[in-house]
Amino acid sequence: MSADDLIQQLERLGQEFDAEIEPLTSEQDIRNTQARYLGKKGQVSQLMKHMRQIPGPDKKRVGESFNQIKRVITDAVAARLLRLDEAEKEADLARVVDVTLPGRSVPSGHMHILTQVWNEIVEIFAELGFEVAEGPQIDTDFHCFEALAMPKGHPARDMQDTFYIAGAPGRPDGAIEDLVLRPHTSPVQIRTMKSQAPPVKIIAPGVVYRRDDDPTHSPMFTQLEGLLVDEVVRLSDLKGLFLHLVQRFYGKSLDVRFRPSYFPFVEPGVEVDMQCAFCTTGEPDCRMCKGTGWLEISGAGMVDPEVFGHVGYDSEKYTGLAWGMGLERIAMLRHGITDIKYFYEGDLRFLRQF
Amino acid sequence: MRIVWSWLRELVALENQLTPRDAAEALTAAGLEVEAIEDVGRDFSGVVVAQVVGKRKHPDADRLTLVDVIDQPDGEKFEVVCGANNVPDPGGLVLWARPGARLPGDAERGPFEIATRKLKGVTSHGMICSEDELGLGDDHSGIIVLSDSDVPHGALGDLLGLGEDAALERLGVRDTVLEIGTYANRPDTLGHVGIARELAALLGVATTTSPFDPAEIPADLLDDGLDAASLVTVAIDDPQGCPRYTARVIDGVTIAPSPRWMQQRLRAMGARPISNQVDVTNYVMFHHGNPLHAFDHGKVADGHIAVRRARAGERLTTLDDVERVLEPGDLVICDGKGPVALAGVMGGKDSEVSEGTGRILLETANFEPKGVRRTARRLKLHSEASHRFERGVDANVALAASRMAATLLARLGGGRVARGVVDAYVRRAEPCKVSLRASRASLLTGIELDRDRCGELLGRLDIAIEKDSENPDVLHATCPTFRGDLTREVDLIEEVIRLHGVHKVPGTLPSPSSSRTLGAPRTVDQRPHLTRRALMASGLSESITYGYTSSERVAAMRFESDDRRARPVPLQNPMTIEQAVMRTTLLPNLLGQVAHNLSFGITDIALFEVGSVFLATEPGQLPDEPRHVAAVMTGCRPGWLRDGGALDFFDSKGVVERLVSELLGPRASRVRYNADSAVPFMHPGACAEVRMVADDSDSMAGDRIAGHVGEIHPATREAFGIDQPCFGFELTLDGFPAPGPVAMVPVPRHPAITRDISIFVDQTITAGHLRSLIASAASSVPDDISVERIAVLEDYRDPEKVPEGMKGMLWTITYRADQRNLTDAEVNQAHESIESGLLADLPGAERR
Repeated sequence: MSADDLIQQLERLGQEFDAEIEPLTSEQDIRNTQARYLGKKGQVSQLMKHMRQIPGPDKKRVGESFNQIKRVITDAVAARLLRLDEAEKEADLARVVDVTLPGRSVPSGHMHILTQVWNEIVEIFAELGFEVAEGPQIDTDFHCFEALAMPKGHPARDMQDTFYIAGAPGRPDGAIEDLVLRPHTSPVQIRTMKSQAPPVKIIAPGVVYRRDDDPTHSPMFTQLEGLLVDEVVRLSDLKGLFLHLVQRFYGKSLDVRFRPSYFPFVEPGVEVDMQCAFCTTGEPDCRMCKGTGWLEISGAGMVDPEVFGHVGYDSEKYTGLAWGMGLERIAMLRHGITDIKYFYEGDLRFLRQF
Repeated sequence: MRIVWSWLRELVALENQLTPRDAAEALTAAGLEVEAIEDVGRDFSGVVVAQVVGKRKHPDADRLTLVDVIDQPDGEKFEVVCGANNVPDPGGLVLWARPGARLPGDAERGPFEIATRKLKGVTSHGMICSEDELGLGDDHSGIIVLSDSDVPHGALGDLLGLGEDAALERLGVRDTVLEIGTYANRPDTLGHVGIARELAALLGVATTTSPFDPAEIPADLLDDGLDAASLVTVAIDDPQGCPRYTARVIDGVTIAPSPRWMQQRLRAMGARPISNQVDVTNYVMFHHGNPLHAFDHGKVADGHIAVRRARAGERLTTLDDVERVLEPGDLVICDGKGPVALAGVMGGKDSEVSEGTGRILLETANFEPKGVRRTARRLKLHSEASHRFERGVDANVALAASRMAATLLARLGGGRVARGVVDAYVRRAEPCKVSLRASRASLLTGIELDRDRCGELLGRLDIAIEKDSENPDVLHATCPTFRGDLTREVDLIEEVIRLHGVHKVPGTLPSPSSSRTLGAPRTVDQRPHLTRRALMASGLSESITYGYTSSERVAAMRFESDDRRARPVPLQNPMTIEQAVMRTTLLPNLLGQVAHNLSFGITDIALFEVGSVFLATEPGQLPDEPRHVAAVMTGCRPGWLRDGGALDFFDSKGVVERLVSELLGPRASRVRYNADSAVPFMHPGACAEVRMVADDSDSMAGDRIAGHVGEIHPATREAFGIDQPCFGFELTLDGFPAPGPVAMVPVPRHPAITRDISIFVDQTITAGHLRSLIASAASSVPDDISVERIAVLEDYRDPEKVPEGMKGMLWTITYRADQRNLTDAEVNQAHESIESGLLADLPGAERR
């Protein structure tokens, strides 16, 4: 084969290569085609065998031709690949997703509304330096009544119809009068004061039990007890605490009022009312406050000296304030929950709302 | 306590026109909460007092009378047809429903309007009313004919032309009742006198005395020939139980209905009028707050009254016709033969006053609260009397109550009161002297109160005040015996702030005191919080169930009889059998809630609860109350657009793993899951114990079993009516060490290299076992190469690809060196040593 023939063939190969890769759409096919020309056994390599027959003076010319064809093919591949890549990107950007289909997620569970309210109120009092204290749900008559100035036979015991613990099985000897399901969280006051010297600044949220069952009373419910004992603790401080609580919890500037009341373990004792969060003014048809403008939220007062006597505190040196409030009631008032039973049914249609 | 407005008005010197609502507001603000205001006699209207000015027979009906009435002096005459046979002669006063009046009607036909209509040819202008037509009583034997005895003060006066309201109010037909919530420490508020005293103090006015409550029995009612002391003797055996016993004798009382005004007031109090004798004792009790009892003197053997404790086995038939077996603790009133009344609780049947009674022995006594309470509770006999005595009646009110009742009995029953009163007063109630520092009142309330103000306010409550001659801060108060609740300075401070107005207390924030010191460090148990966070993130919703449950539900858990959880703490007085015992595990009540949701068509359920369970210790000792977490899941796991397939064991285990990781952080690897086929409420083939392995870093003495995770046993869930598989767990939070701060581990700077092991092994070899074999084979790896992670990637049992009895498992091992990059060659060598070590431990296993 003459030098010119060889050069001519190489040029023809270049043209054939162009035509061959033009319709290809995958990188793999293009690379395979490239290998059929430039690979060890490719067509260009086959033609290289004829180099030996080319006379010396023509070798340089033919060699350049070989280099050129290699360059042409390499460039054509790069250009083709670039176009292919651009087309792919273009096609990708032409993709359309139905964004109105639902998203994919692991649905989160819901915290019980009572736990939420509990946490929120604990946090509000924590801001004022109150710590959380706890006690058992089954407690002694001493902690639940005696030390709270309600000795056996005291008519105030009728205020809470209490559950008593029965004798052990096989010993049906009636109630063990000494153990009760605590009817209030107040025994935690006693336990705390017996375990530490003043000052005391605690809240004690917890479950309590009373023999009561209607839309606003559940035989089990949740109370939050508060106790502050120090050298100068005043009834006005109690009011300040409730103003703080009500305004933080409802996010509104609502007023608080006291009414005299009686609980054996406080003196003076008060009933705490908050301004109705719904109508604020006592609209006659308000279903929350029934037109009074006020909602009862807590029983409270100044710790009775007799209680201090039971725990060994000096009632001349120290004064204290205490309160107890039902968290269900607070939650019902804020969230418009109409029946206390919803809290304890585990109905997901209720639980998922909060 | 119900308070009748007209009654109260008699006892307070009200200058202005105070309305019942004003009074209610004042009482409520002072702590006597008026819970309801009821109108009496307002369910009819258009009914007026009218005077009969003429009457004649109906021309066409014998039984009807034509009556001419006027309702204004010299007013227009109206002709009314009346069917009653007691139409008074001209001049008599009746209650006339004018045309257009509305009457309450009866339960069947309800309220109706009176129209002008013809009766046997004569037009009747309205109707003359009987008691039952107005809802004032049961009497329908005739029309109401008013008489002087119908009003408390014995003179009807000029009722014509007063107007409907004023006339009916004067008759006591129209009235208002205040329902007042009273407190256990204020027995003085259980009578009109006490409430009147409060109201007067609040308004700063005086109290007045009822005309029925004379200082002396009026002379015209006394029988000088009779002497109480010669007719009755009283002996108190138990001065503790009975501080005082007074007796009077009223002779010749005719038992008859009491007058209309008294009946009206008693009805307003919620008491049914019975006879003058019963009504008077009730009336005086509602007036003074001191219960009374009337005996038929003739049935009191020997005219002797002894107050003593009952003897075992003694019996008494009480007024309600029930024979009571008495116990030695019960205080009884005895006559010469035996018990005739349960002191302060209820009288006896045999000595009851009846129509044949000629002579009444009137008891006005004082009984100690605890004894009355004990007896009343034991016999479940809660009476108006026991309610008062349980709270403590003032012993010094007995004579006034006795005098008032005797006066009324004689007056209304036409009898005479024997001279004198037998008064055994063996334990005197004495006024209590208490000192008050105005500065202390100011400190406790946060309001500046000086001595004069304190004294002025206390004085209104009939508390005698004396200023200390030396200390200008101090008052000495003498508290009347009807206020037995006032014995300490703080009690007086409460009265001061109550009358001053507790609503005037400002809002302040507590100020730190001089003694403020840092408290002991207190750490809050974070476990409940972390638990909730992990479980909510896993898609479970928090629930709360009751602390009690039923024995049936406990039984559904199939515990062995010697298991503590099979013997729950029982309640003595549960409300229902569903709430009869304290829960020993959280799962039963949660399963109950799952069933509740299923019944409403919710099939994908994932609930958890964090709460206490109660495990009995010794009888009479406090039970243990460990805090548990439990969850129940059933239905399908969430997917995208449709569900992600039915839940299985690994969903519940995954939740536990996440919880453990939240609670323990890097220490989570200390938790092991071992198959446990012996958990009675779990499927024997799908349950793992959750074991916390002991190590040196905390005080755990040995391994702790925190609880179990698994498929709920079909027999257990079926007991709750659940017919789809449920998965769940219950763990005690105390089974995990309290979370501490997590220490940072250096972030690796050199890359890791992973290698896989793919083998066929015997199907019965667990992943946990293989994992531990790989871990022990890894000890052959040089120390400077760490085996960072061993994880299973595949567990497949396709019979086409796996030899019989075998399963295919793919494991991956991650290698890393802390200080350098590992080479392929050294990792290959390390991996080969693990793989061959593993196979050497597994006869029959083969590489895949």
